[in-house]
Amino acid sequence: MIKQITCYGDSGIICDFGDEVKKEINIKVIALFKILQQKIINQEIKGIKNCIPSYNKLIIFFDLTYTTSKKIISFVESIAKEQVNSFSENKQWMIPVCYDKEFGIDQQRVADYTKLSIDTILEKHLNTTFYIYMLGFAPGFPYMGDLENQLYCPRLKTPRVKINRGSVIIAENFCAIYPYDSPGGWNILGNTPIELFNQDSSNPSLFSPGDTVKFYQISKDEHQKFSMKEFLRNAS
Amino acid sequence: MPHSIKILREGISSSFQDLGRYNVQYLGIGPSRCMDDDNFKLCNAILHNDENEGMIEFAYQGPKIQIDQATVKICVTGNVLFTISNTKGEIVQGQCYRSYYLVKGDVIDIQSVKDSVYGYLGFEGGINLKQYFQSISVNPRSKIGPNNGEKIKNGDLITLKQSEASKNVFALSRAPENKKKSVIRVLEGPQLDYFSNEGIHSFFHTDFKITNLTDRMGMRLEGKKVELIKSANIKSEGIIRGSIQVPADGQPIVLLSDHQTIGGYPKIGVVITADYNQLIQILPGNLITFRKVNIREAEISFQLKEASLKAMIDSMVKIN
Repeated sequence: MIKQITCYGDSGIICDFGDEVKKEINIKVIALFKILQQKIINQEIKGIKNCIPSYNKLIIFFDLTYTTSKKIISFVESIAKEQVNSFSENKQWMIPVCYDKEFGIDQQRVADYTKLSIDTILEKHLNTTFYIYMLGFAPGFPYMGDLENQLYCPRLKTPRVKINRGSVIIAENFCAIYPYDSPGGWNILGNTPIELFNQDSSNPSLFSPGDTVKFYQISKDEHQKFSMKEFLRNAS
Repeated sequence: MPHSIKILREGISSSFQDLGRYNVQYLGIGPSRCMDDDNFKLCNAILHNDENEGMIEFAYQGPKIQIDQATVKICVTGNVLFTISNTKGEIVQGQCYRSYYLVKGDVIDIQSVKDSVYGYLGFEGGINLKQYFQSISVNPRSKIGPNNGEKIKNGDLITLKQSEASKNVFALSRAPENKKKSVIRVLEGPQLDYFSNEGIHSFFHTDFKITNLTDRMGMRLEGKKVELIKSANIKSEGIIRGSIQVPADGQPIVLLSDHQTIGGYPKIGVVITADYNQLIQILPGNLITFRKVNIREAEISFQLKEASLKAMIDSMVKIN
């Protein structure tokens, strides 16, 4: 399961699950992450301050006041054995996206690079069930894969100073959504009116690692009239 | 609730901080956290607050604040020049590591830090702020925390948890020494194999200058290029405070309290916890060198640092 556990400074360890960016590997990372979160809530282990899943690694940050890397490593080794892949809590999201030209300013660039028509690109984008490998970079920002190789398009050489909140973006084999206005170099295909992150909400981040996302197309008018409240009511 | 203090001058970079925000880094929310744990903890100890009570952290030049409620008890820690003045126009030079009983109309002017970067201003009982994910630390880049996730601004009105202060004031008999440090101890980073032998050698054996491009998020260094032999990109992975990453230009960046949650540059080293507080207090323009240690030395150094902090807290005496 875990290929290797190494120290990361005096207050961290890295659980390495293998070299590749692959859903099968990430599922194992998230399974261990969820077990650990549960053990932390049940106070079966002291001193862990953050568990951070990424594509192929789980990094654990702890407080030296209460524990040491030796203790954390032996704890992780002991629970890695009993690990099971239970994924009942993972959510499947249907996310609205508007591909109006006003939003999707990089559709032509992607078409030129991939030699596909814009319609084909959008159809492929709509037909993909995306898997959330991890959240990071900004609060609630999802790294979603895998975009099929035909849609592979590199990032912009010069990042834009401002990309609008809700922008649905692709680069290489990934798709993401900007929770806020932000600088960035990904290709913008469209925009979603969804609110991905709100620190005042009881459930601040809409997505969790391991959730899946499928997009459905809405018009500019529907984008404007979209209600997050209604969306959440229907989603629950 | 009426406000207790007013910000007359915001200072260069003043924000609410505590010991950090945890268990949410997997959602893209960083830990934030005060830069200098020791001075933060000493400030709370002198005020008989909880260890994690939130306060104002400032850098270089601090805020100027006016007391607008009957009585307030404050403490300043760090290596800081400040004055306290009253409505009669009397001004006294403030002392760090002691508490002051102040009354309505008094003004605290935190003029500057000396040979250091960060200082702390705490209030007896703490500041009345809404916690976000169990912390009042503010991260202005991702707009997380109270005060709309913003730094403190001119004219801000702040409410304290206590509407009046207790009279007794305390001071440490043994305060931290302001010794200058230039050797920072590090453990080998997780991507050491991305660097050439020469690159590793220059990292551990040459001086690096702390540049002006240094803030709560990161410390950019300038020195002999640390040569990479593989690509300057790794698969993005979780980040821990004190990590030293090296982008393609070969100039290391130490990731500090407001670091991003994940990152994609190879990391050559990680600053040991015991030396972090000293590192972040070194002013830009100064030179530092990194010395490689093992995890045992790192852990022992941490225990020694904690023991010395406890001894300082135990040295506290009532001064009137």
